[in-house]
Amino acid sequence: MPDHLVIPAVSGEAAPLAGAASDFVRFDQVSVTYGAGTPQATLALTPTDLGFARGDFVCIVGPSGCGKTTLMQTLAGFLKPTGGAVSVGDVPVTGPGPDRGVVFQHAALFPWKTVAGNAGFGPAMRGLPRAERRARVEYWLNSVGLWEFRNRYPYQLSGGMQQRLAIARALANEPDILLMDEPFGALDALTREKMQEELHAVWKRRGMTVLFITHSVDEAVYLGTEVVVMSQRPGCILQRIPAPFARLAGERDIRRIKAGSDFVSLRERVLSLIWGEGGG
Amino acid sequence: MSGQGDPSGERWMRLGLGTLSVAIGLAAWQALGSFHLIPSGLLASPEEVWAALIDISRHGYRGTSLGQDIGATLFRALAGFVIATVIGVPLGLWMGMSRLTAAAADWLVQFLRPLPPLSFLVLLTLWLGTGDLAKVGLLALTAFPIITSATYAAVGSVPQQKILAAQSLGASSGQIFRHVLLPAALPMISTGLRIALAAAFSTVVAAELMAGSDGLGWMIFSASQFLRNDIILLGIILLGLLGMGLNSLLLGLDRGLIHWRGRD
Repeated sequence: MPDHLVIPAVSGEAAPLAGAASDFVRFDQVSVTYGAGTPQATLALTPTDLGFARGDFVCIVGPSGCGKTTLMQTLAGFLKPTGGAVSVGDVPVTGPGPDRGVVFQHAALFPWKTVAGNAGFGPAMRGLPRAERRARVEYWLNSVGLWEFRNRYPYQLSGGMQQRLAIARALANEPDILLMDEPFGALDALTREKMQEELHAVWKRRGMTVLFITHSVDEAVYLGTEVVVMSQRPGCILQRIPAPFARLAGERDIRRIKAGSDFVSLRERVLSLIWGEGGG
Repeated sequence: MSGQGDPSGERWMRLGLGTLSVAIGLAAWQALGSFHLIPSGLLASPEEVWAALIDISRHGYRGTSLGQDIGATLFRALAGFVIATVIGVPLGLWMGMSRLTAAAADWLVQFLRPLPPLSFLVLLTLWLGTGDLAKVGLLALTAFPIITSATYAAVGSVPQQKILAAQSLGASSGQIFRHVLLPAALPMISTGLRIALAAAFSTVVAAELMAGSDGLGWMIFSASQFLRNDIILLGIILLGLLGMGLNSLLLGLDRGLIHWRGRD
């Protein structure tokens, strides 16, 4: 049902081509040291280069402490790199901004606002006209199946619904880039798979750029146009592996894709990279 | 799932047990006198206190009516509490948002907080006279550090992630204050307000003991000079009921307005 709604003020571009030449998001020699200048200084991220194009769905996997969240936080503007610079469309990142929507592992909703109030938070703060705000809230709450719960409060929703609301809240702002830090980590397997499908559909429809952190290699290979494998202590990028499944044309069958030999061999390749790391 | 059985059953259980314990308390009180465990001249019976209530509500006590005494005590407690709130909440918020302000004000507030308010009373009386001004000032001083530190702590306990989320959605710092920080801090601020009101209320009696010519505290003090223990007990009971009433008023406001308390 949500897919038949007409969304206002959105250009209906097709899914973008893979491997566009110019990098939309760029990390240039970005490094992060926590507690720099103190005896407890810890190098969380070695100088790292990473760039990707508009419309890419980049999944970062790696063991705990590999700096993947740190890397994302520099793009979100939550964390100032100790060295190097992050830029989006050649504009340096200096702080958080509505062009980069963030979905956290735990929803971080506003329990004093209704479901609709949460979904419309960004547009309201940015002073969009009332009609536009209402249209966006209706569209995105429908997209994540929460429209009928619009007058409830977040604490009256299940964990999966809260996470869907957090995604709708980020998307209602129509950011250029969506940053997601293990957004489905706290969900049960069934809900998680459903959410992967919904996220994929939204990404394909809207052609936005996604940076997605996950512990699940399966999830990364399935959702990403590219899988970035990171390694720990100190955090660095081990390898970047293109993944074809996100841009498969036609009807999508999650079970069949995940059971296919292409999928399995790519997943094993990523896993062996991580395990080779972890095993020492 | 988080509730405990059906709410109306819970309410009846609370009402029943509450009534029962009050009844036991009254019976024990009656028994202390009836079995002469306390000499009858030193402990008025429940009936005598009831009679004193009837008498005082008709004729007043030493020239002041009962309503006047209750009103005076309530006014002082509430006036002090309101003044402390109007200063303490903004100051606590400011301290929570500005390290400079926190550094400047924190020691002062922490210094005031553990001081027994009564230690100021003589000074305040010398400066402000024996009227309401000194008493209200004392109560404001009692409630102020409690409210300020609770508000300051409340701002500090707001989850960083909610603020980051709001920033990423395009909220300005003013909007974050209004739409995120304030509502997130409100449950803890409200708890601080209730504690402060109780503190102000318990100090009002002491303030009235020292100087004054009306108020429930004054009534108790005056009655003790005449060994009218029926009136002393009556004053104590009225104070207790009044304190309970004020607390449940604030609690009702809290429950009605801050529906997100303890929920995330």
